[in-house]
Amino acid sequence: MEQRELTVKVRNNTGKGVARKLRGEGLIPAIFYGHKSEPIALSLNPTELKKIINSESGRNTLITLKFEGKKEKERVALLKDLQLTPLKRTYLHADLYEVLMDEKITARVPIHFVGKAIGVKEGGIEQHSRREIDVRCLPGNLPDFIEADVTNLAIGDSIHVKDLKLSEGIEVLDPAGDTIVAILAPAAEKVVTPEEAAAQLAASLAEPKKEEKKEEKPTKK
Amino acid sequence: MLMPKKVKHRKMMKGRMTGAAHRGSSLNFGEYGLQAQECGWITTRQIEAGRIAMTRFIKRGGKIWIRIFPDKPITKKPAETRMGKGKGSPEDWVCVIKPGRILFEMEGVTKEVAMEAFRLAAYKLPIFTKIISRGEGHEG
Repeated sequence: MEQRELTVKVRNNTGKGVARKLRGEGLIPAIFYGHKSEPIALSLNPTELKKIINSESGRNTLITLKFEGKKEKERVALLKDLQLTPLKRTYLHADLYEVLMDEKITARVPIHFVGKAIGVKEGGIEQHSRREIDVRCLPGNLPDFIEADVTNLAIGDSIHVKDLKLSEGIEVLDPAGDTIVAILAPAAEKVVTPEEAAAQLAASLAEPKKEEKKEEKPTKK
Repeated sequence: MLMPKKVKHRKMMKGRMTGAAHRGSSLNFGEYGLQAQECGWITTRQIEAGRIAMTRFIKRGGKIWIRIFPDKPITKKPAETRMGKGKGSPEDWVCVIKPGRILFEMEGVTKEVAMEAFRLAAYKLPIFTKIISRGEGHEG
């Protein structure tokens, strides 16, 4: 478990106007909160945050927050949420959750797949159903990643959550029977002729038959 | 070809395409993906053409996910028809695409194979696209 430092600035103003101004200055708005502390609005440098996220521990890096310009104690936090732009993937906002070293936390840990499966060598397809699992443990025990060895998997074999080897003190929150990786047999392509496809499309676009409504006219007596 | 089984209304208004795709803009299934860089309509035939181009290239290896579905009916008036007399009849199904939307995803192939398969599929589409992969910040 890696621990890195991040310098943040406490801000008193909130709202989208303030957030836009911050982004214009090359910073991003962030929030720090925890179940035993009041939320603190922050601004931080996205480049520094990116360096932390790109480190070996990734999003599970413990971040020591150093508050600039305010006599706040150093706090340890974990990145809880990160908002990104859909195209350029630049950071918009970060949520930092306070971590107490003697209290268990819930985190999502990535799974690293090791080796080349026997089934893949025979022409099968390695399908990853899950790339992350939810675990609960003390912050000090939080692993950077969990390894899943796929070398001995033949076509039709799979690895489930219960098969993962975890160190002591780590509790998995996902159902034990969930599949993580499976080796599938190569599927044959379903051949649809152009005539069939055209007929199918025409049928979907055809006007539905109008139901004949026979209204009984009231008879005058 | 992809199309809805049943719809509530046969004809739809044209609509506008503004903003970026916030949903469906991250890789959720595969290792590699094809991401739209601009907005546009993608028809059911174009999706099918892209899918066939990819499956033919990767042959029997790998798995492909289609992340878009054409659920918008497009109407057309017959040729040499005078204007008026109501809206035309449904002719095609399209999917409204906004920048950032992941169109296809792929897994179980090497990066080179995936890049080439997506390049072939991108030729069949009417919009600019970009090939993305995990580890570039596109994960969901």
